Amino acid sequence: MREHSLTILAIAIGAICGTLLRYAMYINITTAAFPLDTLLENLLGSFILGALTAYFLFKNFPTWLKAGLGIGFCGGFTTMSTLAQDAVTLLQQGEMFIFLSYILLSAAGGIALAFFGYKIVENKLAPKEETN
Amino acid sequence: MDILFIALGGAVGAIARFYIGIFLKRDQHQFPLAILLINLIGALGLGVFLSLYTYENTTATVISVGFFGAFTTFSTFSMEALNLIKAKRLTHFIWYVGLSIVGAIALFAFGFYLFQ
Repeated sequence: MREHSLTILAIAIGAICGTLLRYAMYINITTAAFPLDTLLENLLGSFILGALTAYFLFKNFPTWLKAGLGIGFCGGFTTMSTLAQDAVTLLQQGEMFIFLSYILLSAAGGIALAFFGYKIVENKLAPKEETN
Repeated sequence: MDILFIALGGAVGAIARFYIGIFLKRDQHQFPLAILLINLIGALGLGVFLSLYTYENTTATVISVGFFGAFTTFSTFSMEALNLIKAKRLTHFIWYVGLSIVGAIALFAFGFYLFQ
């Protein structure tokens, strides 16, 4: 029960940091034509979660810390609901090209960056194979 | 003061995602259903909220940026899509990415226009 409470607390603190960072980007990155703030949050958050996932695989971390950083921080920093809102706004404005660019960059970019984050940490931490 | 409530909205959203995730993962699926459903519910919920609550004030930001922003997630979506590629489950990958992105956009629009 104590372990569970610690996990919930860590998720709350991680989510507060992630949400406030996302809010700061939402306020400061104002591009009229393109939802750059959401795209950057989602790409950066995917990269960080990819790197963390590899880190957690090779190093021992307590469950509460993993939950706080992964579920709390990365989960709170990135968002799918605002992506949907941005996408519908672009469709309403008839901006078909920007709409397609936005969702393609988000989806392909997010998955690619999760992969790069994972690979970078894996290459650093994975036990080196003996060649002889 | 606003920042405090936005932070609180984010914490509540993430904890709700954690508990609903546990509930949906009780049966282990090959398909990452939990985060897909959470993102779809969150997109629909945000659409409904923004159609019913049209004021641009602190309450709107707390609920939309704070709660729904943190309840849904993109980083776990990327990671689960990557895992499907790694496991060479391409059909699941295409369904997962398609349903997540197109589904979230369609459900947001459905929720937004439902009460107009």
